[in-house]
Amino acid sequence: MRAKVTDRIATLCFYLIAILIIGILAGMIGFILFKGLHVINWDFVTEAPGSVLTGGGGVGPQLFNSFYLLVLTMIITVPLGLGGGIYLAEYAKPGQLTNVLRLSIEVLSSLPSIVVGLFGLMVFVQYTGWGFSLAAGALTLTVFNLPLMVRIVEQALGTVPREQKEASFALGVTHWHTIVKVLLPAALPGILTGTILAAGRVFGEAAALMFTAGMSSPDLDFSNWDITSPVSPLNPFRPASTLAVHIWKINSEGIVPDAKEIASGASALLVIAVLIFNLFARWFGRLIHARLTSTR
Amino acid sequence: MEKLITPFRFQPKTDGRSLLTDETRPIQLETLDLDVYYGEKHAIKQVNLPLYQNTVTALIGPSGCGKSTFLRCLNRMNDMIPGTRVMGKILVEGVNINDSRINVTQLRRQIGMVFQRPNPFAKSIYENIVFAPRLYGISKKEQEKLVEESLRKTGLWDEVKDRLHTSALALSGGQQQRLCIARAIAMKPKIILLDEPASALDPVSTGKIEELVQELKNEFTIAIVTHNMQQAARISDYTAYFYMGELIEHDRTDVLFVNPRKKETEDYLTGRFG
Ligand SMILES: Nc1ncnc2c1ncn2[C@@H]1O[C@H](COP(=O)(O)OP(=O)(O)OP(=O)(O)O)[C@@H](O)[C@H]1O
Ligand SMILES: [Mg+2]
Repeated sequence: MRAKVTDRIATLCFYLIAILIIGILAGMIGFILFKGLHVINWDFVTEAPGSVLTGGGGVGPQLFNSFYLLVLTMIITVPLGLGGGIYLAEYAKPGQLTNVLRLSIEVLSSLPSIVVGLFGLMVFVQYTGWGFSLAAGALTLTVFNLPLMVRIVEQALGTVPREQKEASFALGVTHWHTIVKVLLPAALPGILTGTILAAGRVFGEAAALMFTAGMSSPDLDFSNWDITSPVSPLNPFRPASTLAVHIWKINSEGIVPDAKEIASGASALLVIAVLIFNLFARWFGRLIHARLTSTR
Repeated sequence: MEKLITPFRFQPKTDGRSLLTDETRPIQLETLDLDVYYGEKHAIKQVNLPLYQNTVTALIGPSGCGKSTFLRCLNRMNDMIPGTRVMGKILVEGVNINDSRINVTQLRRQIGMVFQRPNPFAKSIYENIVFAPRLYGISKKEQEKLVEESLRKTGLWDEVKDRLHTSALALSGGQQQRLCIARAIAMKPKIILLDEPASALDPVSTGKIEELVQELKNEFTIAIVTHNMQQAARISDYTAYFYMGELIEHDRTDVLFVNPRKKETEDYLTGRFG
């Protein structure tokens, strides 16, 4: 009888907590969308910000920068993270070196992003002589995302049943082929979830980017595909403010007359962008997983 | 595989507990003074056991006596467990495969293994079978042939031929296990090691596996671990009784079950034991 009551109460508590979480999330998103949605229109999404005096304009370049920086960062982070995770999960022998490596990863992943940003400023902006640039931003975000990525891959590989590995070994398949053809496909859902998490941090990060990718965007010519041209959106060595940085900048400097409006609109846009990215990435991941495992 | 021809045929120690010296069949594999340690634990003690070509050898004995450990030595699966030491010789066609110079992946192509719990890959039925052979390069046509051939031999063909490209995980446990056997024989090994392949299955599926083992021995040499005495008696030609890491008795199955030479074996067979 008592066990039953306890069970009831515990169940109730969990329900309440779940409702609370959903409530907070829905409230926040609702608030942001309510404040910002009416600002968003086609021009806002595509146009560059207006001048300091007139205000108006949009956040087109910033939106593009956010996505482009995401792509650049992931191009660097994913292969390195896979390499590191595979090494730790499959090859690292227990011992001093591995312990030091793990400790470094722990420390690296707990550094505040502003510190990583300052490090990026010193190394990727000043030492390399690139100045504020997408490349410097992407490398800085890699520093900041890599530990997370390595751990995600290691853990995802760790959850693949031992039997799968044994089965492959017993067929005379090499360790490497077993990793690539058996373990990684089986670990894919976990790796993907983690990657989306890491990617989300790129959208949201401001502190580490202010000093590395910069707080301004040059006038971009979206018809210019020459990546060496300073006005090409694809040039990785141009400065680029992302949406998150832009929101921060407008909110703190706020010289333009309609700063509040723009910040609200940009926030709503950022939330929508993150949601769309999440849904797309999950859909894409499921597609690949289904392909690999022949489940429809 | 590295040729390490031994200059003379080892005459294994026959202190009455292992060898059938009067057998005329050729030996496919034999262990000589095999010892296995897991760290400090001495799990296999001085075991000398031959597997005769195209026969089924059943390994029996109480839980924890080292049957799986022994079996896993034969295709070097124990290499996967850190801290394991395997000492002694394992001769396959005159080559000692318990040697650091042996290419283990090549070896495992020749000595296949099927595990207690069915462990198909999370891939399609078709992929499960061609996955490993393809890494050694076979054409699309050969792949299709190989799939049909392996599935026919395991009696699965008629059951799955319409859904070759669907997930193997959707099969029943018994079908999955037969797929695992099909996958193993698709590599065209010489020896197949089965570790309690039917213990997780229902009686009908178990019966099918037993029949299958009987047929497979025409082509392969088979060692099978089982806890089921009737099963051992039904399907094996030879039986080896292990106790606490030692090989207590090894004989033709019809002899060992009817007329065991050792008292320990008799106690175990009659259930007078633990
Ligand atoms: N990885 C390991 N590390 C340490 N000891 C082990 C390991 N694997 C097995 N052992 C020990 O070695 C002995 C033999 O184990 P093994 O699994 O070979 O027994 P078994 O005869 O297959 O038993 P069962 O019938 O229960 O499968 C047991 O005492 C077991 O505890
Ligand atoms: Mg066992």
